[in-house]
Amino acid sequence: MTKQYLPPLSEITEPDNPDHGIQLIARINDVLNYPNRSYSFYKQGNFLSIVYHWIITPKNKASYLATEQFDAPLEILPWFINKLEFFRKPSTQNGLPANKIATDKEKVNGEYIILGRAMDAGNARREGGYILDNLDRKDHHKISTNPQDITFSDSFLFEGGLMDLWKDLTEKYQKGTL
Amino acid sequence: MENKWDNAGAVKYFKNNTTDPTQYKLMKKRLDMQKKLGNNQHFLGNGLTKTLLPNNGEFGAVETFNFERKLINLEEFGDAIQISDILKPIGS
Repeated sequence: MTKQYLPPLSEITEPDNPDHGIQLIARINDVLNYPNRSYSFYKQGNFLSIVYHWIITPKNKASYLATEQFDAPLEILPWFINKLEFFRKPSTQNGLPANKIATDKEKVNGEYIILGRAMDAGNARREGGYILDNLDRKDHHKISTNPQDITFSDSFLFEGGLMDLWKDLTEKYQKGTL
Repeated sequence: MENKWDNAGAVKYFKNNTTDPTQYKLMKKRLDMQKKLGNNQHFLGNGLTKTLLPNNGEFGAVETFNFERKLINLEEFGDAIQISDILKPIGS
C-alpha cells in the first residue's frame, strides 16, 4: 500500500530568498562539527520548516547548494522540548519505557511525529543524537518516497546552541510573537 | 560526502545519483540502520562483524547492540557490567 502523505508545503531551495510569505526566523551553524553547514528555521503560516543546507563540491564538478527540508506544525516547538525531557528520563521516573528506542508516534496538530535516538549522528566524534520523523510529510526530493526526518547530534544540541535557540523559538511561539 | 561518517552527505549523494526509487529506498534504509542502531560499515548482517586483522579468517567478534537514551559514562554502571582487559582476537 502506498503511503498517503499530506499535500507538501513549499520547498525552500534558496535559503536566503524564500518564496513570498515564508519568513526566516532563525539560523544556526553546527560550528562544533560542520561549521560550514547551516540550519535555517522558517515560518510557513502555521508550520515550521527547518532547512539544512550546505555547499557540496564534488571532485571535478561544479559546486552546488544542497538542501534537506523538514516540515511540521509549529506546535512541534514545545512538543520537542517536552518529549526530549521525557526521553532522557529513566522509566522509573515516568520517562521513556526501558525497552524503547523511540517514542510512540504521536499526533502534533494532526501530524504523526516520532522522536528517536540516533546511535550515530554522523559526525567525527561518532556520537549519538536525536531524530525527528514526520510520518505525514514526504521527503521533498523526487526520488524519495520516505517520510521527512532530521537529525541533531548531542554536541550540536547541548553545546552548540541548538537547544537554546529551540527554547527561544518555543517561548516566542507560546507568547504569540513568533 | 565529506568523510565516511557524513551520513547527511551520503543521503544526498544517493538521492542525486540513484535513478531507481527502490534502490534509493534500500540505501536509505541501510543508512537509517547505521544512524539509529549504530551498525557500521563492518556490519555483515549475519550477527558477526568483519575481521580487520590479517590472516584471521572471514569473521570477527559477535555483533552486539547497546542502546543509550543519552550519553552515559561507563563508570556510572558501577558493578553492573564487567569490562575485560584481557580480550584477545579470535583465532590467533
